[in-house]
Amino acid sequence: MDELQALWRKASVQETESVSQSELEAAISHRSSDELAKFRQVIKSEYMLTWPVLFATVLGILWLPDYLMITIPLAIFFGYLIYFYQRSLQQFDNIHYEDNLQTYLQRSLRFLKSYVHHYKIICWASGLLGFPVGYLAAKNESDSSSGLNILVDTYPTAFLIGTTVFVVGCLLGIHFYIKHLYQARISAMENLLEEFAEN
Amino acid sequence: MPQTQKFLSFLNENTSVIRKVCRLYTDNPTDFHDYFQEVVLQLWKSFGSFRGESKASTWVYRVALNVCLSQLKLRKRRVDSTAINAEAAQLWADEPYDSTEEEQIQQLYAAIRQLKELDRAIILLYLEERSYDEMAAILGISQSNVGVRINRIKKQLNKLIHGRTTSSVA
Repeated sequence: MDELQALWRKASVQETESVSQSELEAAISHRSSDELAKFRQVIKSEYMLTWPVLFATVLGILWLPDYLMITIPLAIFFGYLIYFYQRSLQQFDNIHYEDNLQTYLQRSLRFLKSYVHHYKIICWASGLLGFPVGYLAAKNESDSSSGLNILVDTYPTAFLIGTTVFVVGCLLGIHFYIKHLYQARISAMENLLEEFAEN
Repeated sequence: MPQTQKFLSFLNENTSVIRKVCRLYTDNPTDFHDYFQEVVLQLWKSFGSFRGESKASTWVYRVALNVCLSQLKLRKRRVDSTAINAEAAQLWADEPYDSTEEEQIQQLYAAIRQLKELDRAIILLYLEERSYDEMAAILGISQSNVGVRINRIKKQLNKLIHGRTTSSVA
């Protein structure tokens, strides 16, 4: 190993190239390509998009009193989403690069797992919410004898089609979204922590 | 002195550490440049909060290793592990002085890149002649664990480079 250490010292001599002022400016102004930081960006984008949706739902409560059974649960749901994203962003900010390697990995993994777990719960909850929403929508349309009745003859059919499409579409879409965005990363983090556990 | 000048001066004192860490976790100039820029960016973001509670070099190692590992593992990418193959290792073992110094350094990097991600961090700190205490602080494991791991990695690395039997290393 002594010869490797000697070789490493020679390698170190080659790595002393200074960073210029312009290189520094380029580095600190570039958009972060860090994968963990990209997750934060995804969460923040979803968070920002939820605000106008919540705003629209609140307007719906005010302007569409006939649909309160639909708009109030939706407003509560999107309000909870806002809270969920805010909490996730706070948790994310507790992950520090200057922590030691093991703590950093544990925090990152804990964050990703907790985020995905809650995300899944929200997906299932939104799926279940789809049933009463679909039911009420179909009932309203059926009572007013307009709109939906053009497409479907009876109100139970509208209920079945509406809720099935909504629930299956939402759950499948979000299942693949989560799987591709997070699951592989969680496995990678777990492998790294397993390496720590080895002796 | 403005903050950027202070940081630039700090960065240039530690640039060698950052470059070596990035080199161990990348296998091409484009990735190396990306990782280097990312480490500099994260150091810059945290520079204001660095209060000198740990040694500056310890802090730089932590940030650089955490950034490189999160880049590498979260991207699910692996560096080219075929850069040094058994045949090349045997050639080097038989006639080590035929290679130029530069080639030997590149082969050393390539051999280290074949190790597991965490083992690369450990051997880097070992080759940098860091104390077990400092290594434990950077990695978050006990000193005794550091010692056990280093022995295992040394054997593995020696086998990779020289094709020697593990018993000849101890």
